[in-house]
Amino acid sequence: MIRQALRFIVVIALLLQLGCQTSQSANSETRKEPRLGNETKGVAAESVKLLPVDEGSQDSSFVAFRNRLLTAVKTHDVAFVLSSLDQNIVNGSDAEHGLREFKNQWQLDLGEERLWETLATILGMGGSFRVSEGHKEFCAPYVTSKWPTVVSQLPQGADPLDYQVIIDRDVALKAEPNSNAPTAATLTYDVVRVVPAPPKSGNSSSWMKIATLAGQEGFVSDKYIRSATDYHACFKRVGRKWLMTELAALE
Amino acid sequence: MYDPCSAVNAEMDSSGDGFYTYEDAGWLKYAQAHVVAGFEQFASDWNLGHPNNPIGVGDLSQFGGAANFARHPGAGHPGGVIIDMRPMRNDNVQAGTNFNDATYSRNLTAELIRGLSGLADVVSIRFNDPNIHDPKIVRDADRFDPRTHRRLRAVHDNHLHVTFRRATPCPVNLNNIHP
Repeated sequence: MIRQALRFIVVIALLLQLGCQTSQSANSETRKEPRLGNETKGVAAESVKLLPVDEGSQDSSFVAFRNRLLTAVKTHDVAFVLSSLDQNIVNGSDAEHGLREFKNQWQLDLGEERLWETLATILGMGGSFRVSEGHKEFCAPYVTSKWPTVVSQLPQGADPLDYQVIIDRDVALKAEPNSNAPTAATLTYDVVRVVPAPPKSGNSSSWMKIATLAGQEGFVSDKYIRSATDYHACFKRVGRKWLMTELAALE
Repeated sequence: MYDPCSAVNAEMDSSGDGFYTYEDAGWLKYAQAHVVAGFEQFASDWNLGHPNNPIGVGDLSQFGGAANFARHPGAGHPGGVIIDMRPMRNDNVQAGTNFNDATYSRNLTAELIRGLSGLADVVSIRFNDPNIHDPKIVRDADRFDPRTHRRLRAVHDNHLHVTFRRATPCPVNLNNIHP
């Protein structure tokens, strides 16, 4: 009697487990269905957007550090910036790591402005946290730090390097590369494909030819478009201090 | 979620006839087998005509083909079909350069690109020198400093990003996002 009851309970438990697995499997397929459909049919999404995000405010110590660094940028405080660098800072692809190369690239001794402009832009464009080699890191801007979420939504076989992000609301897509041209559409935080253009030279136009994912072509001012390969910075907390571990443009 | 692509398991030698590697301990050194074999054969052939100008090889993919956005924030280098290479120098030194540098050899780099482009398995070559023309070259969009109107340096000024045909349909847009 007891053995029969136990067998009954085991059978019921197995049936319940099987039922749960089937249900989970169905739910997973349902969630993935649009993506699988796109991959098998090779149909691109009509629109992919990358909205600005700033996770920095989630960590009060990082907020304090970033505010201090922004002050240093405004006042051109070289000493503070140098004291905030990781000894092995990444300076670019095929470039030496470390402080010597950092100083060489940014030419602070010569009063170059590029570092201040680059940092001001990066620090003003949000970013997100990640864990890298056991350390919590913050990387900015969001266009670079959140780029992996875009790549997984690009058309199958697309080269991510062909795509960039509109970084503002209601950006005019012009029919011709000038501000007087008719506006064909407006774009808000859209991911767009850069259309190859002949090399520019000298004091050239600041318009970039792009195509939306739906295929509409036009020109946008390069003030409103950014690549994930443009300069980015990462910061790591070591003990009680935040250090800059990367300031580089990487593919 | 890690989604290994088992075809990305061929390891590039750290050096061989006609090539050397230049990346650090984080070097991504795996690709699909036909990519590694095809490149090493090409480098060996290159070596016959250019024994003093070996090809500098940078990152490929990581084992299993997952994108590595920590190291390559824009491209990820997934799928085992990409090899980064240095442009050629004019002084036989094994070091980096870019197409605006005094050490850059346009003639040798153009020859290298012509050779790579001739390989049926090479799909595209990203490199920004506007004076090298080839059907398989892709250039980064130019950007200019708004104050000085000078062209800003771009990521493919200092290396060739060579993409090969995918022999195995290892997905380029992987779900496995690293880190």
